[in-house]
Amino acid sequence: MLFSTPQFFLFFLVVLVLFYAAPRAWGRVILLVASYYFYARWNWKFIPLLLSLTVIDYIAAIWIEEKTGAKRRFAIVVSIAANLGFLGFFKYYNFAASNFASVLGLPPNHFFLAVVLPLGISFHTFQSISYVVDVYRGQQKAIRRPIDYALFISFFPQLVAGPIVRARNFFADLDNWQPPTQADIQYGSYLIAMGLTKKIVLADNFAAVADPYFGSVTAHPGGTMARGAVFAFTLQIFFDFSGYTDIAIGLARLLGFHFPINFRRPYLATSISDFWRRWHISLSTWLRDYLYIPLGGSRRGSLLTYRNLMLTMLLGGLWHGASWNFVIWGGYQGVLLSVERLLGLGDRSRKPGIVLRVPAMLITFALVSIGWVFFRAPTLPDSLIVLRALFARNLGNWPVPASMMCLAAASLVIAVLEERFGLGERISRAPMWSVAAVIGVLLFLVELFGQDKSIPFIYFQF
Amino acid sequence: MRTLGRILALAGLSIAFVFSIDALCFRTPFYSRILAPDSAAGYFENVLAVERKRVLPGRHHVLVCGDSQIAEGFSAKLANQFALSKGWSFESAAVSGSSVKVWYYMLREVDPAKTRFDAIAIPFRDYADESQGDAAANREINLNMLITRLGLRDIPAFVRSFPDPAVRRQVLLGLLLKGITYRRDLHDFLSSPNNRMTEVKFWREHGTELLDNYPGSDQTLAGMRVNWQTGEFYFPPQVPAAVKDAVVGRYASYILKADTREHDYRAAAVGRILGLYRNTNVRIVFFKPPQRPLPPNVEVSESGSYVASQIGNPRVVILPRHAFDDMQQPEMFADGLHLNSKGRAEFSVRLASEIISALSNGGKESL
Repeated sequence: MLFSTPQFFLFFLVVLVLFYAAPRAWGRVILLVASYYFYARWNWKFIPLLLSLTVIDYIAAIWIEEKTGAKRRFAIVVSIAANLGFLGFFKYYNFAASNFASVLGLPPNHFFLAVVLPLGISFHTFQSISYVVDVYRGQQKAIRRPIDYALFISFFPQLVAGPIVRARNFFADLDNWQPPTQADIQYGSYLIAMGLTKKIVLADNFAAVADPYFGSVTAHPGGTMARGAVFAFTLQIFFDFSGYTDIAIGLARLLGFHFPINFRRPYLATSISDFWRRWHISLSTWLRDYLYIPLGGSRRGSLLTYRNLMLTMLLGGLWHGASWNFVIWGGYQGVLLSVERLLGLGDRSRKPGIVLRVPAMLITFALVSIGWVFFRAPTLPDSLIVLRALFARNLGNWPVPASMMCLAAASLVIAVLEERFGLGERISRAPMWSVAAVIGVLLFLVELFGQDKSIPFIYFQF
Repeated sequence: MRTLGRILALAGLSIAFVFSIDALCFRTPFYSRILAPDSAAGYFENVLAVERKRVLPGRHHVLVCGDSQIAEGFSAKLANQFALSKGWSFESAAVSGSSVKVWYYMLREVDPAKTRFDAIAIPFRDYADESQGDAAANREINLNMLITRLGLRDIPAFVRSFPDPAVRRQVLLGLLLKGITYRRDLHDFLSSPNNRMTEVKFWREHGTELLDNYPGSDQTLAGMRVNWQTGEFYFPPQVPAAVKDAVVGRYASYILKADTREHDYRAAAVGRILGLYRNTNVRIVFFKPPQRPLPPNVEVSESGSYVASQIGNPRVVILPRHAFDDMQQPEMFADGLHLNSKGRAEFSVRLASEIISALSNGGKESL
């Protein structure tokens, strides 16, 4: 049940009606049942896994709060081990097994198991870990009502691909739940329409350029093709993932929950550090709070800071997928961040002036785009072929259709306007008919530019 | 509940905006003027435009409907060279890929007053209800062809005409939000607006000549033979491989049984045309054009077929089932389905002659 399908919106309509028509006390149960139903529609066989992790972390958090000393530490170790254990097994077993087999000179699939990656496991395990760690740190009270905790982990708008919601934010909304205001409804509905537009109109059409190229890189020689396909993927991944999170945030808003923003116009970033403050914010802040800072952050001298940056980004890369390509992508980001730090660039307080801003944006965009080659290419040798082609001479035609280039330019204009004038905020305060007109135009674009078949969101595979 | 009401109000208003914008763009003549001339809808519109403005010579007028077999095999211009001297004129409204379901709407548009023609000629692949399963009834291209002509009032009947529920859903959506149906054409237009405008202008200026002066295909299957005992086909060297495969496939797909679904489809779709001309003197002529470069060695009985059921209907004239079978010769065909220019020249005159003769005699009652 993809967010971009009519079936999902029918499901959401039923949830909305039940949630608002039923007595207030039933609200949490309705959302929990809806969330498990939503998950079961993907693959019901992973329900026990989701339930097991929920029970383990629920009990562990209460233990951590109630016990002291070794028992407390034991509880957090069990919880984190369970989360990372399941994640490691399902996501990384075959990767580790193939590398181990290669070391032994055996075929890569010698130790393979037919493991299917449970949907959303990377997201809900990070959410669980942050909750348990926050309880351990005393920054969050252990949740006593099992239904509340189960809902926090399984809440359907963000279950499969985030954003990674912090417990304190979620429970602040849940415990002091207020019906959404007119501004919430307008902003939430706008975000859903915008998310659908990003996904269906932009991402899926850019995928139509990028997918054939990356599906067989040797069949499409020449620099122009490579640059066009990498450009297409650069836009595809942004519109795909930010479209998904827009929908997720919008759905939650209509149910009275306020998820933090996950993308803040990342391709307008003027440095790599700036990019990571704007891209997948819930993941980058999670990595900062639960990995980079515990490793020492930037407090223990330059050398250790670079080490911490590299480690954080390498693990961030590996979080995305079990392959060397993702490790290299993470390493590449780590190197870029380290170089920026070394050169004193990317500091939040030292924004480039108006003259340097555009070149800085273009350079950052180019560097980020190069990184996406490792992210998208199916194998490491393919990545190297694409990288070589990127710097090769022109050959062939620019593969992105003119209509898509126009849409890309229009979205750039909208992004700049959003950056300067905060269009989203204005939407929430505008008269209802004008919001409906904006949503109508967005949905009309979906009607005109949709593909015949739904294409899954990229981040569902992580 | 108040919150739910607010959410639904905004959703409803937004959806109303979508329908309004869609209607503004696609339910007005705005977009139909720039349709790709070679697209299903564009070609249909061009044929329609040409036939609507055509001034018909002669006293009696016949419109020949049809798909690509008629578009390739029948020329109204050639037919008229024979027919005008007898006081008759012919017009062709053949559109490749169309079917009898489409012809109803074509007739509705070409002849809104139902006074333009004395007869409407409708071709059948065979008089037996040769099995095609639901293929003909479920052809989604019918929607693409007719999209500019279908209004909100047409939705129930048109959607019901597709037996498959999944196709029905698609068709309903494509009719409610026409932008979905126009999608490919629009993308094509946006990829090269200048080329599109040039093509559209060219068709607008030369459409009538293009349709009237089309000479037919110069390809020929002359020299082709079949050994029915072994099922082997022999082709002369000039025949391309793709054509050979298509010819062999056409014989392989010959289905030796009648199908009630095909019967029902014909009854419903032809029935609508008969209904359109109810209470008029317009005659509906059934005919079977030459089907294959060589006649198949077997034949399905027409007994109990839809066409047979119309014997005795005073408004229907049925030309003999085998009237044109002698034209099923390789030298008359360009491929397994379509007549070539030689076949076109002969068939146009013979069809005109048969129709004039049948209508002058008051119609034939046997198959």
